[in-house]
Amino acid sequence: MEMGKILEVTNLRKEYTDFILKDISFSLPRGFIMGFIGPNGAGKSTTIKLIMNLVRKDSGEIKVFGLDNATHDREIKQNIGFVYDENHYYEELTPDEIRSIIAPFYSRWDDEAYYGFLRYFELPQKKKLKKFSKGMKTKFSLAVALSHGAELVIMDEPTSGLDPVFRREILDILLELIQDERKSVLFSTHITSDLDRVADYITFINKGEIVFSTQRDDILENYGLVRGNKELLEGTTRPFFVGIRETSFGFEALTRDIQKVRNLLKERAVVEKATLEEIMLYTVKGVVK
Amino acid sequence: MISLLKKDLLIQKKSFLFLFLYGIFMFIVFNNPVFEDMIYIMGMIIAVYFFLVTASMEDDKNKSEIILNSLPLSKSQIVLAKYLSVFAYILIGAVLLGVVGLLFQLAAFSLTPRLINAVDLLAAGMLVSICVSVYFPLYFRFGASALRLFSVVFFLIFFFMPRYLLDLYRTYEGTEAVRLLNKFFIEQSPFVPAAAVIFIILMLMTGSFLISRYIYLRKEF
Repeated sequence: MEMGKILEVTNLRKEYTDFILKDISFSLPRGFIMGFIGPNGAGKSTTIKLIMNLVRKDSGEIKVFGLDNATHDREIKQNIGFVYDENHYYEELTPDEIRSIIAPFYSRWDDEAYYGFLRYFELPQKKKLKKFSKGMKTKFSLAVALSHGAELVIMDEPTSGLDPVFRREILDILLELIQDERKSVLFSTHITSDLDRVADYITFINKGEIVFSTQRDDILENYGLVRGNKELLEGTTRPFFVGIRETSFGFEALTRDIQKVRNLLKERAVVEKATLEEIMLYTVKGVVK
Repeated sequence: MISLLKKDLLIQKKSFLFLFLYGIFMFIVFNNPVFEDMIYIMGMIIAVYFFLVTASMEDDKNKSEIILNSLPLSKSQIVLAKYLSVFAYILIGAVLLGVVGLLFQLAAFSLTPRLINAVDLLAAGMLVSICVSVYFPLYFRFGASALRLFSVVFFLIFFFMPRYLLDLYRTYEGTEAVRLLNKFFIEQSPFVPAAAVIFIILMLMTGSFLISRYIYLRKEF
């Protein structure tokens, strides 16, 4: 394993009757936050379940902390904090009771941290989870995830269904977490604005395939949105465009190489940097007439 | 492992009260000589059914197995904990029903059930282990919700089984085969049949555990 990679996914494949994860590869260095984006059904949850060893891969390799995730399952999970998009904790139990069940499984469980987070998130210790709001449940999951010294925090759509204030709070906690250079976060989302604030790396998955997995700044520097007259859409320019939207007035297209397109079209088109949302939209939609 | 058992009990605190009330109800309804010998055995089967199914339904409800399988816990431990929980449920049932029986005696009602004894425990243990040895592999394959109706019918069969077996015994009581069987057991020290029952329970549960573990290791969440 290359030093400093906390998570390494290589040629990972999983086939379902209606969906295939097609030999995907990406890796996350230690000390960084990776946003895992893609539309619903792109394969984000499947990938996360594979990493968590909740489903079995058909082929490929998943290494966490340099260890195979299936053969070193328990060892790895000592060091992973997880937050899922829905609450899977027992609704009949209180945070106090859940602590009493879960804490013994972790060798480095930290009561001080746990109760600290409960206080910080203003979560009642003795109230049943079924009385919690969706946001409170997510915060509760996060409190558990961050209370046993986990070096890798994996989150599947933690911000979905939360209001902006909650989302901001959770993202702030993540930023604070990676102040510790040994720690990393992988979180999936379809809300691209989450990534603008916190993600160092972005892995974009679509239809079971990785579109890109690289540093956020690289993406924002290289992708561009081009607007112009329809005559500009011809044999020499088309290969530069990932997704094209044609209107009666002209076209709008996404390019992966903003510099080349600028040089090619010069003043004939308007070329601007693309936002993550535009990148996702155009890549997913392809050519729209 | 203890934590998992604790979890199964914590998520159903109400079951304790339910079983206590059920015990009172049962002693009143089945207060006749026909059921007298079997009442504790039947009660313990109900106790196991109730605790087991309630715990499994709670696991199903929020797909909490996703949490269990995300913790540093092996699948074997999760399966084993379920099997061990059955013994805990038998003991809890024995204590709760034993207390109810005792209360009836102390209160000097017209209805005075006998007290619970070791034979009750062994017989309940035997029947329950046959029952769950079949139930668990199905549970780990299909989940509690899918088996809801099946489990009611299946446990009811075992609930009435002691009564049926006793009838069977009485019908054939005069025959040579039963006489020889009785003679065999009477000649032995009481520990021999007890040890035989415990041995059978352990064998059944171990076999069933291995099948369940095989199924669960291949399960996806």
